[in-house]
Amino acid sequence: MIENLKLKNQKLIDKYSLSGNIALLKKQMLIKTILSEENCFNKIQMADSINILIDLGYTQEEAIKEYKKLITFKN
Amino acid sequence: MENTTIRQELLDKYSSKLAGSSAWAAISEEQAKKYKNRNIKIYNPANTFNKIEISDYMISDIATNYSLYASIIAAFTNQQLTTFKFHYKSRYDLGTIEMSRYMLMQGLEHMLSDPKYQDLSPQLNFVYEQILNISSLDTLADHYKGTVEYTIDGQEYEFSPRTFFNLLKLSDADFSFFIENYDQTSMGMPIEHFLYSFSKFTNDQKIYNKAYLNEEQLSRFQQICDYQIADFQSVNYLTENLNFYLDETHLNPELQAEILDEMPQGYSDLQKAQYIYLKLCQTLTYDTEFYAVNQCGPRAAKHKKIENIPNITPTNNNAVCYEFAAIYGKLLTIATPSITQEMVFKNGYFGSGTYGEDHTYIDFRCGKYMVSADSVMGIFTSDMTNQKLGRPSNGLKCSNLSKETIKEFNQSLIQVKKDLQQQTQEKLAGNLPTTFEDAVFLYRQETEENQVYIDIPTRLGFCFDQIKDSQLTGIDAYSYLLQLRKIVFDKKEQHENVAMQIIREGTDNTESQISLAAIVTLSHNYRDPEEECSYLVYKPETGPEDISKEDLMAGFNSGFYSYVSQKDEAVPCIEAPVCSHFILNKALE
Repeated sequence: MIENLKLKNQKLIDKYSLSGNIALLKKQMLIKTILSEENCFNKIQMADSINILIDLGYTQEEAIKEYKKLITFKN
Repeated sequence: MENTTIRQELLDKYSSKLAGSSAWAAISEEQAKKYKNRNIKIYNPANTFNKIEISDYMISDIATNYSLYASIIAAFTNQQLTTFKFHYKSRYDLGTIEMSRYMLMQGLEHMLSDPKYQDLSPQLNFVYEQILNISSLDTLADHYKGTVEYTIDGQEYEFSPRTFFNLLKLSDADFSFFIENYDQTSMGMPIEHFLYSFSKFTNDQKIYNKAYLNEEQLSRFQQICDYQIADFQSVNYLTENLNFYLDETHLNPELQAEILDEMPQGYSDLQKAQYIYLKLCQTLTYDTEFYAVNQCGPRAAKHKKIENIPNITPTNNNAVCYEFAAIYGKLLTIATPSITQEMVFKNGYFGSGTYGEDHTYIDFRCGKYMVSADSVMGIFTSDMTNQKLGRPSNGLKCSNLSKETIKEFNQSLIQVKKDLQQQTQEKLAGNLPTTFEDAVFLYRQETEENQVYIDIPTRLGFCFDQIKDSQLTGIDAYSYLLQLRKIVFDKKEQHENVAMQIIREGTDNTESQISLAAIVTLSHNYRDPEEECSYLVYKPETGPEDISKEDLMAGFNSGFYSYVSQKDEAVPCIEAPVCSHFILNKALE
């Protein structure tokens, strides 16, 4: 699942870097660093997580559903 | 027999059209109808020359009518004639059916191989052999005396036409050997120039119609002319610069530096041209005002003057098609002087040729590549916008016909795009944190204004759902709840709005099992005694249930609820007595 998000993030990085949209690119590169941390969604606030998912292209409703799948302490 | 009456009638009526031509025969309207029924259809998808549709009735006539046969032989013996015509009286004008040497030979071959025409076989074979005899490449080559001269990309060459005939006559194996071992020094020219000459000669002279080429020869001819052996399509294209505005175009130094200074080292000319185009699209923006005033009037005037170009900078970046074309053309000459270009003006089919009047773009030649660079294919779909939105560009196109060349062009474009992406990422990455904590901190700052807010009850419900879905029970479930609290609520919310305590439920003197429950307190600020609090009792097996302050206090007072340890944080606003089990445990110590 996280791999899917990483792919979405990379696509957006490519898109924004090609178009030179620095503000959006900066945000996606920060998200890339966040996603590279293991179990990252267990380590940040829900609001940040939802915002990351929205920045990755989900609607708010989808983001909440997705977030539910992403947080787990079973690891 | 040819209908001499019809012939005379046609000659009388259409003397000017038929004057000087002997390679035709007169036919009746009935015959014409049958000749037009092209019932023999030969199609070889691998060979576009080999699309033949011809009437078997026409060929049968030729094979059985000596006078007609003789006229055709006479016509095709003359190597300058490529077709034979059948004329007839049509209702309004002179009717004509054309037949090429190639069509006739293919039709004959077809009929000779079809048992249906067995009775006619001797006559068909005779005609076939006779035409083959007068249509060989050698026979045709004898007609070409002396040499032909071509100017190719500014160089003059002299060829013997024999060279081209010999190239067609080579066996497949010899031809492959010749191409693979082509020696530019001994041949005195690049292979592209040699094949260009072959193509020019054979097409200008219509060799494929004057001689009967076999399958192998025809296929070779097509391979060369379709640029499959080498792409020489750009030969003699833009042999000099036809952009007459280059001298008048003066770039703003800041803009020039922005586009060229970071261009990767070691790029080929094509890569440079692609990089400059993409970077320029990334930097410039189509001028809204110019569009809004429908490209006319005083507000549009400045863009129509080439003197405006020095005012265009990376920050003052509004431009229109003329300016983009002029800037791109100038940058090309600075970075890749060997590229030749033309500023194209287009208004429908015609252009005024004047800057600022018609839609303008740059066509250029870069080695074998013929490229068109039109950044404004549409106002809302211009590459200046496409580039910024990460959409594929549609204005930088390779106009070569060779699929291989187009593929190479597109692969190069993809690589340059990736390089540009990498460059932008690296530029930014240098200023970004690499640790998780710093990235989270900075992300929050970046997102502060657009932070999504989900209310506390919804998030609390989310926690309970999450535990339910996890199917965790007992201590595990409570532990999960406490961890969820930390990520679902921020520090301020945890400190003021949402408190959670895990307490003991049940008394030592009852027979039922002693278990745990979570008390969740919700308040505007549970640390302020003036603020009201609401409470929930949560157990994984039953889920959340509201409980009043009074019932909760009663539970504590009765000993049904109690703290597990004396050190446990108290449930906000609930004064609970020290429970009997502490006293008991103390006594047992």
